[in-house]
Amino acid sequence: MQNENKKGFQVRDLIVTALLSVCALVIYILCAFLSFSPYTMLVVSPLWALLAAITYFLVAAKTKKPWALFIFCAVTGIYGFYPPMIICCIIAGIISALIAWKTGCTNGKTLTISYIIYMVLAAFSGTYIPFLFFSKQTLEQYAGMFGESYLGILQTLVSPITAIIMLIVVGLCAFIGAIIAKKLLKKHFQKAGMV
Amino acid sequence: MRTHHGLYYDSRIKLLLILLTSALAFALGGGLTGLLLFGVVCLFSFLSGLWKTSIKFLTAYIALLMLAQILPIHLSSVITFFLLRILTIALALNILFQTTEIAELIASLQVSHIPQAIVIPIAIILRFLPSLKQDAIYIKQGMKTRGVGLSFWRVLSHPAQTYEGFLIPILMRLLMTATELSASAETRGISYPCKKTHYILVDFRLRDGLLLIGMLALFAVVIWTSFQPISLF
Repeated sequence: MQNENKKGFQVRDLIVTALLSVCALVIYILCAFLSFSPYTMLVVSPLWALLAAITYFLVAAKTKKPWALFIFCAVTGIYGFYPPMIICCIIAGIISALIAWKTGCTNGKTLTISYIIYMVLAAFSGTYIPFLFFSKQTLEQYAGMFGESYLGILQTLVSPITAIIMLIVVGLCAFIGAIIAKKLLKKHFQKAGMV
Repeated sequence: MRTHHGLYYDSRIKLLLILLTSALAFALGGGLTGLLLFGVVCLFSFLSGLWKTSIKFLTAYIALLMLAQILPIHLSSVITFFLLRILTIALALNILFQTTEIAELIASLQVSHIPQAIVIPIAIILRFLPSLKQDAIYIKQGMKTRGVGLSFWRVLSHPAQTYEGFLIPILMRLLMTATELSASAETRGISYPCKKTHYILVDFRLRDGLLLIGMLALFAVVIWTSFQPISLF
């Protein structure tokens, strides 16, 4: 907490947060290209959790402001234009901001926990909620978009148990992503004096 | 000011066009609905005077649509689910990028009493997206020069090296951009707590109102079509 930035609202922090949110969204769009088959579709959220960790940790390290984490989570959620995802990402943002406010933005352990919560909530709302609560409508929509063969495989794969397993996988990937992000931050950004 | 030969209209309409297009592109189904959505965006692109861009996007859309009919389902689903929708959103973004100054957009949003905390990220995101593409090209070229090409097989065989080699320079560049942009904004007094004035005068005219009503009506037709049992092929 000693190195925490005590200044209030600064435009620079807002700009950094906005730019890193764009970067996280671009990573998500690239990961989402894997939706070409039902098997690879399940990998989208874990892969995003693994690759986008650096952007989340960089927001915390560069701005050292809890509200920046809230904005980061909210912006990435709003981009989905899907009400459950927006709500879950805003909730994740509030949780992340509260954890960072309580323990500090430079605490690696609590940042890891908040990142895992954010990714699990984003994956739950974005990928798995439609199958758990609106399964009939979602499957009909997928049948229209991808065809009956895609739907057939999807129906065998999608179940509440698969969803729970996948959320655990997302959590694990977020944890690994957080470890990689912390190492990359130390290796590249701290040595260069950028954070 | 950028010079373009098309119809000049309020940048808030262009922003609303992007928001509605991105929301509907993934919320509604593909096929006829997707084609109609692209048609609406294309119409606004022609109205804005972007003839060359519109024709390029239209050609690419038709070519991809045709390709999706002959490819196996797993490959055609990538085209119908992602590429066609992203193409539609990209065209909507192009209208804003090519016909609007960021200063004009900021002025429009500030006149609408939208908080600074929302105006700044929107302006930054829209300003940075084209730069991000350019930076990615430069980094890709730099990686190739150092013998770390960004080919499909390279990504599969050395994922960690590719991730680190590509993403870290992007993030470094991004942080530098943030510093430069914030310095520029601070110099112009963005943080100074007073009422902001603008070089560009923004007013929502009758023509803008009519265009907005027309756009909303067209989007309503697109939404209505998505609930009808009509198939494209």
